[in-house]
Amino acid sequence: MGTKSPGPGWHRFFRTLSKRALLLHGILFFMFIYLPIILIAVYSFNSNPINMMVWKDFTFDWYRTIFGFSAGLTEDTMYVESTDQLIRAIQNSLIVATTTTSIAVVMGTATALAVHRFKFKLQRFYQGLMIMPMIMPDIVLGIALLIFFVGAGIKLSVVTIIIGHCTFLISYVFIIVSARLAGMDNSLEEASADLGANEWVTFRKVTLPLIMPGVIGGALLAFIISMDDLVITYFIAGVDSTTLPVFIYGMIRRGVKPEINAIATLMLLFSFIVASLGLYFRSRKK
Amino acid sequence: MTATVPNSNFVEIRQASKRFAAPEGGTITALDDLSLNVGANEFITLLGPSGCGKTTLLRAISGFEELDAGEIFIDGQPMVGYPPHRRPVNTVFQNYALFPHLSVGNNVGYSLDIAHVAKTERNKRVVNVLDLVGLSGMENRKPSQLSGGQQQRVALARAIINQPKLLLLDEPLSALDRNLRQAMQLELKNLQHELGISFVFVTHDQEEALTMSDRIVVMDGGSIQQIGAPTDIYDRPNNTFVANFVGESNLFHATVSEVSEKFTEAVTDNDIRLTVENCGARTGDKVTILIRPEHLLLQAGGLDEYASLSGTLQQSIFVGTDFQLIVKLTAGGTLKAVIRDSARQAASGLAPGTDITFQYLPSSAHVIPTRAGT
Amino acid sequence: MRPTKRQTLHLSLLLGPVTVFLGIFFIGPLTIMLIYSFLEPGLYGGVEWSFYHHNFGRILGWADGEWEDYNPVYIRIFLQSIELALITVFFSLLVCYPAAYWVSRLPDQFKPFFIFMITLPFFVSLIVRLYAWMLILRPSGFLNTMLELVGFGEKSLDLMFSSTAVIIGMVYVMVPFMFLPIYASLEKLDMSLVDASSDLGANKFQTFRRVIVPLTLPGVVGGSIIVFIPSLGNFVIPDLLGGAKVVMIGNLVEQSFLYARNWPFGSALAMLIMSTVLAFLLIYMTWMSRGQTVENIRG
Repeated sequence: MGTKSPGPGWHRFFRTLSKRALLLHGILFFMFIYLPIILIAVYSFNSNPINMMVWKDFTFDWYRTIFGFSAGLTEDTMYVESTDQLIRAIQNSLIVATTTTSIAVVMGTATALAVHRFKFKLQRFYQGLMIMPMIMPDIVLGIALLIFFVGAGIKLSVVTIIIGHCTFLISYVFIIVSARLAGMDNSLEEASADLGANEWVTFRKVTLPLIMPGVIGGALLAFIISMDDLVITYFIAGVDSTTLPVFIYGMIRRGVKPEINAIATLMLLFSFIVASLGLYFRSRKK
Repeated sequence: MTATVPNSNFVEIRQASKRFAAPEGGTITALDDLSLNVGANEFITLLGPSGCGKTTLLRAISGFEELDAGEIFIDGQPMVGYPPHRRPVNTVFQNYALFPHLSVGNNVGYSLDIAHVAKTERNKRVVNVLDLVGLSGMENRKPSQLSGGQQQRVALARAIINQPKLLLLDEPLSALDRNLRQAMQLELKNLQHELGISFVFVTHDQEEALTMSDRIVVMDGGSIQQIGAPTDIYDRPNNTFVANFVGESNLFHATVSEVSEKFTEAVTDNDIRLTVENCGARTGDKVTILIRPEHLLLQAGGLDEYASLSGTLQQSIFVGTDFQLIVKLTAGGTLKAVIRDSARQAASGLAPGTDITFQYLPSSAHVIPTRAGT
Repeated sequence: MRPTKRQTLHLSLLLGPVTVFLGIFFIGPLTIMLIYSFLEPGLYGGVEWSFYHHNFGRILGWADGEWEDYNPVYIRIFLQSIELALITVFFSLLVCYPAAYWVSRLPDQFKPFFIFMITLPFFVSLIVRLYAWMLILRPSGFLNTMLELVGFGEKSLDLMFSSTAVIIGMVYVMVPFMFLPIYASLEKLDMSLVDASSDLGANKFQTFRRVIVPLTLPGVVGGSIIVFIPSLGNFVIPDLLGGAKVVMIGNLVEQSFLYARNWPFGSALAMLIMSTVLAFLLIYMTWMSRGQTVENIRG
């Protein structure tokens, strides 16, 4: 140890300092992530319609407004569009999400099984094909689909949205189920075949139960992403077939209103519940 | 201050204590007020079962563990508060810890690169040390391309290139197969002599300790059970733990019945008579007597000096170099004997159930000092 | 081993639907977009089926006909978009790396909880998360209101509708994408290597530079790519947080399609985005495979 090297005191100080700094960064990080979200939720109960961030009173008014109950609000504080549109947007989102999830789960799982089980010439090609929608920027995919639908004369509707969502959600399911398959013990399937079961029975009784956590995980992920999708839906939704995110985007573009806080908070709640369910299932099945 | 006499206090560990929180609650004492001196140019081994504190002690010396109490001095300098990178100590890790993204040459030269040693000098030293460990020309290989034995040598080379005052080795040979391990043991011993650096070697393998060490420190439960040269540890263990941990043992708890001019006789509770050389014990004293299996002889000759033990053969196990005989003593209790060399012939024909009498020299029996609780 | 007839049948059953679906609704649209980028825009929207190179020409700045001067505005916007995307990657890295390091050093029982908490916002719609920042950054927003309370005067910080606001928004949205790959590579890091580095005389900075950074680089690069791609083609964030002041290439595409009704030009712009993304991916993959081949030589 040279004469110019710092003493033990300095080392202790530095060690504690770096630990504290790291902890501080961690705390700030979490605050950064959650503060905005908490703000929306908190201020959705703020009765101040003009200076939305200045707290006036606690109120449920905005929640009531969006569902059509204009509880004691005067004309100039009520900006929200018709509740019908909101309800329809929610309905469309749910229809799209459930249908997309069903299709994507079936096709994604099928592809994952095919790529995992069989060694065939085009294996690499299919793996690449599955990755492509995920690495493509949303906007490119969105306008490509728009051109396609309009060019083919297909009217933009819930169906086109479903198709659009499927194109990339199949990939998400594929990735998750593939990971699950890769971690699975192949000898179980072989044992089943050895005991006389044909492929379908083996799949039903052995493979499927084993990959079920992956399938469920993929389904939940696809559901959430479909519910939340903005960009692609923005381009391929028809006039009558807005989904919730696109509807809100439209609302925001026309001006910031307290009702949006209420809708946003409800969406937050919904996402949290679904995500927690997903976590619950994943930890249980392990 | 250059000492002309070899510095026997090159490393001083004074009353080191360390406690950890146990997962179930409470604390585990890893080091219990432990004091130890290591000499310059000495090969010393910390030997003990898992959890005895040997690795904790090693990490305390290298700076990865901070002691709750006690101090460590290296070459007269206190180490308290100094992190690992500031201590003149290098470690060979159990899993080698070779940097996978660096070549062998860059792994070995790492400490020189950190110290900004000039390139030509640095490269020269890397080549030299690789020659020393028998890996000439491997500078550009990656660790993943090497065998276990080769990786071990790289770890060694990396740790000695900077000429540390002390080298710590944390069970470095445990991952190697038997033959390779034995070859490496000799190489390490020779290396230590050549380098003149003190080696502190940690292992749970008593054979390894006996082979390589100048001195062995037998540890258990965070404290030192015995320190000594390998022959001392083996022939004259201080307590039953050391007797059992190092080598095989036949232990008898007996009371001294008669002290004569040369020999002392003691009797166990179940009437086994044992003869040992006089050791200062008086009639009525309780003693523990150790007879190593290899000191029990079949038909040594009818000289008066030999005492004997008799029983019935229960099992005869052939292990290549010797026969291991498990014998049930007439008076009760089990004896283990190891028969080698010329007596093997006699041993090979023995069948279970045969009556056997062993003979032993009283001088080969060792009286373990009886401490409270041993 | 050549597949049996039975296997081929099963394979076709499994892969058939996907192939058809993606072929029609994924490959197809992209191909048409490629074609459109070379077509001439019709007078009232729609297209003329004739080869028209001026779309790309216009992007590069060249005029279409005598009444347009050389105007590199599109190239400029494109380069600014790349710049904003790179800045976003940089700040995401700055924000996420220490946080990922901190979580990876926590006791094992806490880690799943923290990972869940960090990924949870990912499940909330983009629009909600962006709206939150609108509320914060507006002149009458949360930030200014708080500053007012502390005594800074009314509406002191004018962050809204600036590239700063856009970057904040993009970093906020991209954090889960940057965090997870970095965290994964930190988890894989063998701590005994950090100990070995210390043991050999390296202080914390040296250990970080020589051991931790190289070994977590795959995670960093992976995360950067995952963040760069959506950042480049983004239009929602510049629209809401940047307004008219911040125009990214995504905005141009949106305008071309929904307002200017010049689909060929919009397609050309989209092709530009896509080629940039593919170029970066290609670089990434060659870099990755180069590292692999060195590792795979068995001595």
